[in-house]
Amino acid sequence: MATIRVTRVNTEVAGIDDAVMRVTRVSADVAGVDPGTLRVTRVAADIAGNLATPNLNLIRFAVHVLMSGAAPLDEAASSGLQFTQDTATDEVYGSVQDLIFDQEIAWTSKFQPIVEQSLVFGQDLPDPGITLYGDQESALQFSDEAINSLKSEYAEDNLIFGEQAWTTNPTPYEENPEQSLIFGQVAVSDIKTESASNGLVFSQTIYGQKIVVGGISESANNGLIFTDSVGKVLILGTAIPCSSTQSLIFSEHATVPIFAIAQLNLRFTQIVARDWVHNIEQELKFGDEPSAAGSVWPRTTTQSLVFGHAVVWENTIDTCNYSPNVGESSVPGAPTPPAVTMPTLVKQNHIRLYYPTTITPTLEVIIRAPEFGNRERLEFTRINRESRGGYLEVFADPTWPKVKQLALTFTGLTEAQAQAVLSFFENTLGLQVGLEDWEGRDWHGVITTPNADLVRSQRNIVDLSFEFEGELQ
Amino acid sequence: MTVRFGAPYPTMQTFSYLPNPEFGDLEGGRTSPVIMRAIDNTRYTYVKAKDLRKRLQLQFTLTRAKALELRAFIVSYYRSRVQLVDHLGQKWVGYITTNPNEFETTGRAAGAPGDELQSIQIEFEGIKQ
Repeated sequence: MATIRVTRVNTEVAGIDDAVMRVTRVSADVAGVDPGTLRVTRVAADIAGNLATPNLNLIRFAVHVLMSGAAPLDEAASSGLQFTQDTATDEVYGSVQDLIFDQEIAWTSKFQPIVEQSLVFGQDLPDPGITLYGDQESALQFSDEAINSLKSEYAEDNLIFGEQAWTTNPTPYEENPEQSLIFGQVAVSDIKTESASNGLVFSQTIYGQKIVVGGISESANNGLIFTDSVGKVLILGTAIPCSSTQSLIFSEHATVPIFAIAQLNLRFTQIVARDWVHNIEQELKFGDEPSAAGSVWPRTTTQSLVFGHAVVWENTIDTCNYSPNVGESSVPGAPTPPAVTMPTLVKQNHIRLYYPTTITPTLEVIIRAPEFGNRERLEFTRINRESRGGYLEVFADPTWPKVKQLALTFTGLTEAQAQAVLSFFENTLGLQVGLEDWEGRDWHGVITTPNADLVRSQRNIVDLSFEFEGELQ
Repeated sequence: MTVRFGAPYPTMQTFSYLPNPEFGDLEGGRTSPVIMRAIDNTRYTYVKAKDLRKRLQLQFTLTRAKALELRAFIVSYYRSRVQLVDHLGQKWVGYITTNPNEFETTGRAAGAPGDELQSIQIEFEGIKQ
């Protein structure tokens, strides 16, 4: 049992006359020894007696009781940093709210300085122990609105990540500027429904409430710009199904009662005006690579969409000189274009027949250049077919024979020259011979008309014609 | 006007310009009607439209240098579809059907590139665009 200890009692008693007592003040401090017991710390009483009546008259009594361990019924804590500004002017709008983090450390120490600015949103909702709806939310909201009757309205929200790492120290330190906008949400619970969603939504709307013909221009634009990206996806070839998907999905929907257009375009368009420098390049690459690490499963990769482009420009319109306008082509299997430079021609007044072509010739005949009327024939092996519908189809394999023939006529040969030519024909029957023509070009081939007749048209004047089939070297 | 050959159609990589052809150029259709008569003297006609294809025959007189350019063009694109813009500005798409292509040196042309003139006859079958 707790004892009561009266620590202090003060009493003042004063009597006006002998029959009447008048207590003017009583004061007592009472404290319990054990914690939790009643503890009267202060008792004060003022008692005064009236001369007209013999009774006592208690005019004031006060007791202060202090107890420990009692919980308050309601608690609240709030911190608020509010920026509120209001500007209402007809002509000039200016309202600025700044939350500036600015720190500067002077370089006075050899230790590594640290400058850090943080704007942290942290909210914690403790477990109440019972099933309640709980929400916790952190929001960094940019909301600007410009509504007035002025000529120009401008509203802009910017979330800018700008970092730069640089040094003037010649030592090649690593410099890594990095910008990150990370969306990470995790739903972990035993509840029936789990949902985690990341959204990067571009939504812009322009309402035109007043249309003036030729006066108001409206546009809405969403931009998702990829500049540089390095991605690494590691797929383990184990028994566990793994998948990795990267998708860039364009989806548009238009619903108008009268006329609706929904169109998806992925266009690569580049135009270079005619000038000295031409460089047009469009690439759409599909790259698949199967990984065989840690697995023996057969894997295949297929690309079935091939893009080729060709470009040609009208750089020179010349109908006299050798001037083909040759561009570029990446079309698979495209023919080899003509040479852009004219072959070198060295005019001479004779031709030379020689044998053999691979080593120093042992047979050689030189006669004058042929008469005008010489012919060069190009004959290709092709298949010309008409389909059932009448379409013309032409096909030729590039390895199929291509025959090039020269038909030459010579006049004014001497008997000796003509006999030398006939002798050359007889000695090289069916053999590959060389022919250096009157333009200095070298041909290797065979004489296809070795039985050509000599025509002695006049005294000591012999004419001769023959044909040659070969390849230009 | 000039005559322009472009190949391979449609992904053309090469243009080659030639002078206008000589007079006497030909342009003719390739359709062929077939007329049959029944035993009761009823006439039936069938037409092979052949894709409304036409045949052009053009005779060119070229400098030696331009003839070498045309020769290189034919060697490169003898198996390709060719676009032809003729001397009337009409566009055609088809094939050079001449086989063999024969270049004949017709005479001297001092001062012209190659100092000689050559002639060649080109046959072209195609569809007017």
